[in-house]
Amino acid sequence: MLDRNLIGKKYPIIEFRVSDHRLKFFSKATGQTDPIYFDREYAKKKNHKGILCPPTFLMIVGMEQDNFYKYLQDLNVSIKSILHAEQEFIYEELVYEGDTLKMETVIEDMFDKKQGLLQFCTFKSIYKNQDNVHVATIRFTIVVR
Amino acid sequence: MVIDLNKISIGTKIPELKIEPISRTILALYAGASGDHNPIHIDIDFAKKAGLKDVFAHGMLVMSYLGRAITNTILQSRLKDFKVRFCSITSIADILTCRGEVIDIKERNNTQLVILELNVTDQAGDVKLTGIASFEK
Repeated sequence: MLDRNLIGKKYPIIEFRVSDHRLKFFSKATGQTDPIYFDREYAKKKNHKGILCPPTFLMIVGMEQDNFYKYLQDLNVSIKSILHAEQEFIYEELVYEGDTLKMETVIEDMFDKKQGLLQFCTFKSIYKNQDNVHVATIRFTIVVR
Repeated sequence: MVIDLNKISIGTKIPELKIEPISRTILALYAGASGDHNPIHIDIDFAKKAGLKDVFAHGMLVMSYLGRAITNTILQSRLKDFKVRFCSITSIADILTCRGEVIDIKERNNTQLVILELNVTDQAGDVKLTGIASFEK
């Protein structure tokens, strides 16, 4: 069983600067065809201040910790036994190349299904930009088999 | 923008987005670009030790394809919420198709909020994920 006392546990704030290089790499890897996601001049012609972060890009900020999978140690589960179950993005403001984001994560909830055979854990992350404006909220839910 | 926001109603579909077959190269690139280095997606030896036949795609890669289907259709600035549930794993060589259909239009803060029901299936029709997105009309 997952330790439900961990609900409410906060993780250290992660700071992440969105580089054009990383954005272009992400757009290439996801087969992006709309140039607003990799071509600065084109994005500016479309009234954006620079290359735009696509809707799922913010997920990568959490991977920038020294050990992203540290939470598995906290939950005392193996990387082989987890799957990504659910994912939610709630958008407040657009994010662009050059922005510096701060992400703060908390273990929001734990629950189970099938009489405890499947256990779930939801992490909620709040993202703010360099002006301390709340740009997005993300919920990341894993299932432990 | 592909669809005319003035003409959308319940039942309006966004254009389907068909994705090239999932390859090991794509998974390696996504691992690097996303920073998700979980070996279950890129190292067949590790996958076999975990009891699987092969590596499988990152769920977030599949969700990213679905995000493309949405932003091919509406301006990203209109997108307010994007949520998915992963149903089954996506294997090497799978050919994915992303779909969305308007299921509701609500009033919120003096604007109309359009609710899209989403799914991604493979070449056999197996559902990889289902989801909901909302955007301002």
